[in-house]
Amino acid sequence: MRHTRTGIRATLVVTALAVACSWGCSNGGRQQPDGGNSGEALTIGVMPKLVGIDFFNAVEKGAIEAGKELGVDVVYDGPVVNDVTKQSALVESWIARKFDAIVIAPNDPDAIAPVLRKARQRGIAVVTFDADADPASRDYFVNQCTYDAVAKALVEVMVEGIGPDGSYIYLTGSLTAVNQNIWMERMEQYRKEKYPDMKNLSETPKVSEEDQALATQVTIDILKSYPDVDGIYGMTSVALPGAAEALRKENAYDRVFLTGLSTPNSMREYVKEGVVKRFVLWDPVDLGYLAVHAAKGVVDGGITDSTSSIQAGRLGQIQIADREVLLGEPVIFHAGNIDQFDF
Amino acid sequence: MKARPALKMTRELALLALLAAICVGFGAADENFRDPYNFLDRTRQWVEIGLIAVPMTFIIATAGIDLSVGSLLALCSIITGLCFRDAGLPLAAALICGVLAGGAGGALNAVAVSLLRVPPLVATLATMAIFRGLAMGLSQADPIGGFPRWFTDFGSISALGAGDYLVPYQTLILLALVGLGVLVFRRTCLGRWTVQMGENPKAARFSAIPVNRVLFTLYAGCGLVCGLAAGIYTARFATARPDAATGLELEVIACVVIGGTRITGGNGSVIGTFLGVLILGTLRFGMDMLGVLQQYQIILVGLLVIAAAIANEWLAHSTD
Repeated sequence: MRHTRTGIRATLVVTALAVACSWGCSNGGRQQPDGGNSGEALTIGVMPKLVGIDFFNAVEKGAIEAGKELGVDVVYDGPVVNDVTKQSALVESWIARKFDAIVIAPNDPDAIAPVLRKARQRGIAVVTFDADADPASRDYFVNQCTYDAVAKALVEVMVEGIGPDGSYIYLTGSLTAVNQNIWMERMEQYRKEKYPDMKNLSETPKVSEEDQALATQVTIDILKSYPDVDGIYGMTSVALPGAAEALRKENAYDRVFLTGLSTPNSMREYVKEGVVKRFVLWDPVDLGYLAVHAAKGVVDGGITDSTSSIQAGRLGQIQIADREVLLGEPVIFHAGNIDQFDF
Repeated sequence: MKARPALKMTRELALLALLAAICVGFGAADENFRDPYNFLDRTRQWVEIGLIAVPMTFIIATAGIDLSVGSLLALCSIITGLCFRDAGLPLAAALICGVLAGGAGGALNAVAVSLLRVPPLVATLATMAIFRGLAMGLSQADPIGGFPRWFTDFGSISALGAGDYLVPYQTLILLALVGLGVLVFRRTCLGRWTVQMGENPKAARFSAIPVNRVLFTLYAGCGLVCGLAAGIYTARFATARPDAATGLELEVIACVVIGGTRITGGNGSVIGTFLGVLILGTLRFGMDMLGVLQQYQIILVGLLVIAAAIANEWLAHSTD
């Protein structure tokens, strides 16, 4: 009997400690001390593919800026690796915490669909950005530029570098990332039409899983396995600097032309040294900003099936078509303009 | 001998009290925790761990262990995916293939432990790597998707009930297996032999206990349950992934330890394990609702496991 009483007393102490600690450690994800379920402010969760890389840090900046402007609670959180199962689990938590909208860049369009469908069933608005999910599972997709515009920009830069009959290889992030796959697909379509003499040396793109060190290693392997390659596309903001590092190490940047998608801050030193001459992107700060504006629009009814454009704060009029919100045109960065940007 | 039943009742009551205290504590702190829809929906995340924790209780009670369960789950998931996508089998048949693959994996563990007399820690450490490697190799390290809607809905949306009181089907499966586990552990020869083998392995071999058959049943059975859990996991995440369930074995063992089963064997409680699953589950759920960051959650869970292990030893020795 003594054991039971001591046991129960100890139990209550431990639980009180646990709850107290939790209370103390909590509110880790919130950006505005608005008191959570205050009833008035909307809560919008913004989830990148993973946290901790420049591209998505810039998205966070834009999202928070929009949140402050619109008087909305923005919770920015995501897994530390590009793992869709961790994203699913976090979305489940947000559903339980009754967020008003979920803004997400999913790592896999099909794996994330069931949990997004569940969110919509519970009355939560779902907006994807950067990479789309199964379109039937989300309300709107905030696309940075049309896939064709990105494809065309990348191919034209490559042709400038290696000529209309050079050979090239793709270095992508992950084989399930929808945005990367569609870009590469459109790039192949475009160059088959306009530059049929160019050669793609590997049908399956090389993979670097949003890991810069891995991208460097894979690029070094590419240089060894394809000694005649003229150009490499670094298709993610992490693959491109990783590949640039490899070209610099192997002193190969004079014979191999590297371009792709990445942020000015990641690429500045390589552009200044001439390792990479020109590369492509859009403004991820604007992307995050627009995504939050779009999400709020869906929640409060500002965006409906018949809406063809919205006023998105400092971005002005933004076009909407086929449930896609389009940010704008890609930007080409080079030594002449790279210092104007800070993201 | 009378001391032992009293020990179990005290232990399980204490766990129940802890669970109640956690629920009351978090329930008072956060309304989203109290929401019945949220709570019942959250139980989906406990099912795979809970299912595997049942046979793991038996295995640990024999002073054995199975570290390969996470890898085996991933392998079964991949085999289901390949049968469905590449071999064109109907999904139900593919799922059965997955369960059978689990049985085969468990049988491999069983042979190593019972016939070859390899220590379970070593054997399952090896199969942990082998199963994971097979999963990676067979799938070429790519996830497999494209499962039908009814299947993925089963994993994340479908439930029994009305209004806000919706019990997910997989939770019902878990309750059924736990009930079965409690019955087998307490009422059958298998259950008694399990504990006796853990208490004194040498004596067990010299007595009339069919040690090898028991070990085979336990490890192969664990494999079959991994196959079942794999099916549910695949439905929940709508993909078969070769890196699935990494670290699952540690979660499962934590639940068993919290439940009162000692790693050194000789005792066990399936009810305790189930309470362990609930305690860890509600603790994580409460912390998620309060917004506690992952890194702090891991610390709290670790402390709980240590506290439980100490309590196990203290209670065990104080009734000697």
